[in-house]
Amino acid sequence: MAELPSDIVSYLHHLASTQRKPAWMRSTGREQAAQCRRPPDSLWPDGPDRGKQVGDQVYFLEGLFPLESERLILPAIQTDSGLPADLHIFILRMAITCSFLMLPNRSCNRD
Amino acid sequence: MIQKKICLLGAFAVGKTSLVARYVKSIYSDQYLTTVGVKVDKKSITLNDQEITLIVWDLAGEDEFQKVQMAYLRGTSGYLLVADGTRGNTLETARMLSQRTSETVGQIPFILLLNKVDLIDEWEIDQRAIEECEAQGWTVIKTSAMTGEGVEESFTRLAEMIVSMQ
Repeated sequence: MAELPSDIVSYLHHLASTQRKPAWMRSTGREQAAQCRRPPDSLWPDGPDRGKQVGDQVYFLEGLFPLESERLILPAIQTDSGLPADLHIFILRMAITCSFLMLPNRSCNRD
Repeated sequence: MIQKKICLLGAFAVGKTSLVARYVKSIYSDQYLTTVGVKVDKKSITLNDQEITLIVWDLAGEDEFQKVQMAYLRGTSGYLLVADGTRGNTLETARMLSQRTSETVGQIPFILLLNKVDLIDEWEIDQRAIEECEAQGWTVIKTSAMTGEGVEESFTRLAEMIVSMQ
């Protein structure tokens, strides 16, 4: 983001980390869960358990792996929670892990 | 346990979300709320003594302002093309979506659902159009999310087609 002014970069960082309250997960190269953080809104119900296939445990990830490119973005996914979220999946080649980021988008909530 | 992702595609307001609600939750509502992005549900069924969980992706409908996002189709094992029997142009939309889906994910099982059979007297899609689809090898099922007609059969048939391809 070298082309963005620093105050805008800071704003975007604040927006993503505090207001959007991201949920994230990391998996190994074989799509086995390694680390995760679920937000209080519970974009997915349980887990995932470490060492197990993420697609088996987080049902909306079924079929998405292996990635065909370094990044996959699926906007406005609404699951049981009723809260739409943008799903970003990207590969950290150096760590040979796959990271998942879900950014809840409350602006899509219906009244 | 086997999990299989399936998608519902079609023009706007053909009844995709209502079909999913009928199938997954056995409910129906007259209220129309356009789907934004995609809704994901799941339902477990037993097929030939084997438990299968269908992960159902209900995609926002295609209209003149927005196209179906093909990225949502990643990893899908099969799909349901939905048209509204009372709106003839939705069948053409279904044909175009089938073409684009084939280009994106290759040849996978699909079924054409002609929804709103409860309004059969108002249908624009006639028997000749249905026979044209069937002549191409398409499986066509008439459904009604309101009454439930053909809904269970559609999802079960698609699951059978997917499993038989394995």
